[in-house]
Amino acid sequence: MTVSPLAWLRRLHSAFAAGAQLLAPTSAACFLCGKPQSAARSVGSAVQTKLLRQLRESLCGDCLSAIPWLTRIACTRCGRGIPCEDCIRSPHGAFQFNRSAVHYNSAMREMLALYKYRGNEQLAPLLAAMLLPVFEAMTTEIILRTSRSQKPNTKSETRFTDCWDAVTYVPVSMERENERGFNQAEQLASRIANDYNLPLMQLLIRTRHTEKQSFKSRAERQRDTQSLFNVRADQLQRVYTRISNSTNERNKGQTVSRILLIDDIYTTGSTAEACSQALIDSAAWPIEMYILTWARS
Amino acid sequence: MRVQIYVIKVCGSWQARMTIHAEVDKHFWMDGLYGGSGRLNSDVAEAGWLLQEGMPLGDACLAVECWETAYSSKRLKTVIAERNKLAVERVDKLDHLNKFAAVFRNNGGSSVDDREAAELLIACVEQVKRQVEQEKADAGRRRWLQFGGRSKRQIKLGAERLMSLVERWERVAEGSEAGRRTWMEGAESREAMSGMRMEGAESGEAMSGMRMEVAEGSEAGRGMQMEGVESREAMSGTRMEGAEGREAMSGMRMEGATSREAMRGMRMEGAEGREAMSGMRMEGAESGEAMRGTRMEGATSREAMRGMRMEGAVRDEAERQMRVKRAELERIAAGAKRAAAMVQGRALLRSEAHALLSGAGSPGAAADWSAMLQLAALLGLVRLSGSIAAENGGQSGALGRRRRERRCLRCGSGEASQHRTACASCGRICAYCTACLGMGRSRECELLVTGQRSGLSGAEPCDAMMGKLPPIEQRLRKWQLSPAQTAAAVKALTFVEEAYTNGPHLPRGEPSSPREFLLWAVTGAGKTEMIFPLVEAVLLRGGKALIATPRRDVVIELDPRIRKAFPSAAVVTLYGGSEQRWESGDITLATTHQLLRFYQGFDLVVVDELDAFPFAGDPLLHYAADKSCAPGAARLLLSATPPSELQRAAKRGKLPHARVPVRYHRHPLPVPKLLQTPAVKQMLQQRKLPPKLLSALRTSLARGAQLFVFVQQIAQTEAMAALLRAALPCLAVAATSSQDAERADKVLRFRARDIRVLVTTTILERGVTIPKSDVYILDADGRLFDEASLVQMAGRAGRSADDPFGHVYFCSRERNRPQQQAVSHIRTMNRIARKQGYLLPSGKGGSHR
Repeated sequence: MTVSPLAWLRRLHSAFAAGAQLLAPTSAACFLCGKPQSAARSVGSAVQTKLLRQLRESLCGDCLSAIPWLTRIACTRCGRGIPCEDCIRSPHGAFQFNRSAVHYNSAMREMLALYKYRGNEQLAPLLAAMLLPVFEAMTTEIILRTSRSQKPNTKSETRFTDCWDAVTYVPVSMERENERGFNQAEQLASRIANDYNLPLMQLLIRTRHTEKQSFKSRAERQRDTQSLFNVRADQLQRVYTRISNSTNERNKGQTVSRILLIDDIYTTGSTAEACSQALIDSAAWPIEMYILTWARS
Repeated sequence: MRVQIYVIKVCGSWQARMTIHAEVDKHFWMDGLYGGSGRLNSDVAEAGWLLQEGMPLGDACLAVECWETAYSSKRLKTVIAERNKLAVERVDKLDHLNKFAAVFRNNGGSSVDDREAAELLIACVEQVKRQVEQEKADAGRRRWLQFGGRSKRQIKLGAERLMSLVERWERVAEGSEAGRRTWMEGAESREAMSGMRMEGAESGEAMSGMRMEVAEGSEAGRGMQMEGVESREAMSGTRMEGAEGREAMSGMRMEGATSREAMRGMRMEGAEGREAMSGMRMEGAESGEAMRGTRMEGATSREAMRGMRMEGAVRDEAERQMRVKRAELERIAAGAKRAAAMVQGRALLRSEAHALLSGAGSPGAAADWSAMLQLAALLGLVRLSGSIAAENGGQSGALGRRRRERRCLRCGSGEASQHRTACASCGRICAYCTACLGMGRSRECELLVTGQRSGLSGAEPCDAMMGKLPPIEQRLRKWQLSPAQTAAAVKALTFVEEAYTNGPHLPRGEPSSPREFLLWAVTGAGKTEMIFPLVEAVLLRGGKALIATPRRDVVIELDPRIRKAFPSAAVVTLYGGSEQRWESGDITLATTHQLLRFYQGFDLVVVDELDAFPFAGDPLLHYAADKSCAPGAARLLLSATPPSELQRAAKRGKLPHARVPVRYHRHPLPVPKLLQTPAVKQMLQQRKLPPKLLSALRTSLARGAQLFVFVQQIAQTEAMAALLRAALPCLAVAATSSQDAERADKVLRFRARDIRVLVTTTILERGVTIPKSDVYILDADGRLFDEASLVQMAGRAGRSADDPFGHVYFCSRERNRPQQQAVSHIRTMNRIARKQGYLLPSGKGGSHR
């Protein structure tokens, strides 16, 4: 069996990382509830083996089992766990579909608040890790959808780079970024882009500073998000140049490019809609927008 | 956030400073006058350099520190001098010097000094930037790639380059723009101007009157005499005005060429007018000549008036601006003082400080707050810094590189709690403190506003007051304490008042550790009542008292009692989500976490239940408790079960203390009885209670007592409650724990006897007083119940005078050390009480042991 030197090196690297991990101090307390983990971990670990190690290591069994994963999707467009009236009412939006990792319940609200408002950035890798399985499932779903005729290669290593042309995120205003110190969507997106070797681009900027979305009603949100986002043309051009220069099989046949937009939460979809619309409108070539959010309310 | 730094030359020596609002600093150093607030800065600086570029707060603090060390050691200075020499040699010498001269237009040697200062500033900033870069690289895993010493990068700065980096501040000189540049001068000249304008108007009227007369020619004679009288008055007025004006003008002479000339002109006019008037008066009856003279004078002074009016119009705009600026300055000065007063004794993050200031209805936007806070900082009333700072020095790493350890200035946590992330508000990797995250995020680039203590303190000489205050015994009488309480209170009060009697001799401002006093009082001794006289003593002297306790429940329970005891004092109760978050009062009641937001704010700090979670074993809270004490303040530690190191220190006489071995009702503590029972787990599995336990429970219920049942785990509470409900002839059984949202309600119902049996965990081990209660501790041999915890739980029984003999049962499979220690602890206390004669004589229903 021949192994390419590069792959071998990669293996060596991961072996080394795993070895080093053994020496690393395991975090004694659960990231969410702060309780010492050792006692509680045994409860959930047997069931949750499928979950990422990162999650298992930083959360206690109780907190881990409290995560309401969105495994069954009722609305294929907005990724909700229950049939969705919004999507039935207006089935054609700017974006293709949204997928979310978890259902936004009070526990998740608390978790997001800890990260977003309290500023506990240690949770960022955790939330991003929660996105990964959904991202993979989403990619597989797209590949299956688009190439129904021949047997799609859903296991290939390169399927992610083949499938996606760019990863971007919902921007926050300068004021908010200054106040908060980070953009949660950007942090999530950078993890995905990093892990799957996808280009992360800041395609959008927020034109004005608005009140926190979470304080607003549905109508207010939808009114508010109109013309809220501007497209950075230079960045968008970079996406195009990338596509036209790539030797990707898929791009030879078709010119539609897929852009993944990442945000922390999908509530009414108005943000996702506005962002997608802005991008589609300003792109000179056809693009398809897909939304990946951490929580679906 | 990003801030600016600058250097300033005061009294011949340079100093570097950081600012969040450079304009304020410029005015403070270069002028120092604040309208109605007067001169706030007596040491006006000679010159200054402001670095145009904003930098992250943390870096700015480092740069300032770096500047200070470099400037004091002059090491860098000589480096720069050498470099300058090199530069001068390389570049054409003359050309270089010419540029210098062109740029600074300053006199002789001082410009070199100036330039050095500016270069040193830039060099320091560069050094900090390099250091940060290096740390960033170190944070990555490329450490081994960077062997070898880094060669010092030399910064070559031409004069223009230098000027593009820094802004020069100069003292307001007698230049042409002086009037516009300096506000105070503006104020002076404005007064002068208004005076002159009035004068102008008056004399203008006089003149016009005269002019009319001239036109009326025929009636010159008699009419003129009258007019003469009138205008004489006017003119004498004008003379006075002129005199005033002259003074004003002498003040205004400073104001620069244009205004000076105008003034000179005006002064001349004034002189002419005066002469004319005196001439007029002298002439008196000789009306014709007087008339002619007046006409001439009238003509000239009319011109002068016109000129003045024009002048006035020109200056009007500037004047209006000056007035606006002056008002603004006054507002900022007043705001700074108000802000300083509000922030005093606190340590707040920027957002908290803003919330505090805006909560008090301070007008204006965020920019205003930073101006006010910056001015307060310049006045030394407030300290502004990054909330996480690099510790001084730091050890050399393995590769000989200095690694700067960060420390959270708010909670005192070290490097281990610092988490570094990319920060959008300062634009680089910066650390935040994970230890005190729950109280708002403390970041390297986040501003920490620390109120400095001024004047008011425990060290204030209070001899006069001391005379007025009645003796300790007399003051204690009104609190109606038991003999044991009184003895301890006298001791504590004497300790607290030491600071006042010896006050002036104490070294001031020294960060000495607070003076501690341990009040070791058994459960139910009436600790709260004992602190009342102490709080009163501090309040009587105008000090502030703080009562802190680790548990929120206890704070809320304490609140009404304190308010009742001190009806006239302003009581502020602080806990997570408290309404009174930004208020300040004489007495502050707070959870220990809230102490993070204070800095040297209190003259008396009482830490109640100091051995309780989370205060025990949390260095962060201990740091906060230390920090909140004013210099020389007394700190009172209250506990029924002090940690062993405190007990030891007290026994060795290292820690002043008072022991209260008896409850306020003067009955002995109930001594626990040991019952051998199976483990709770087993009881729950077999769904059966051991007969011994069951009969004890039934007896307790039969005597009408309320039953506390303590278990180890939260998960066991509900199951145990169900088991008891089935086994006992009483249905009012409930369970509660820290995760129970209805805990407060259940405790209330338990107190009201709606619930007879309450199954709970250590969460209710302290702070709860139920009149007639018996205590059952299951799994008393469990890991979570130590001596302190057992004593505390046992202390729930027999607390009221009506039922002083509650029953306490330790139910366990085996009797272990903590149980024996707890029993002997209680027995020791009872023995001491008996020996000291605090117990009621047995004849009066007292001790039966």
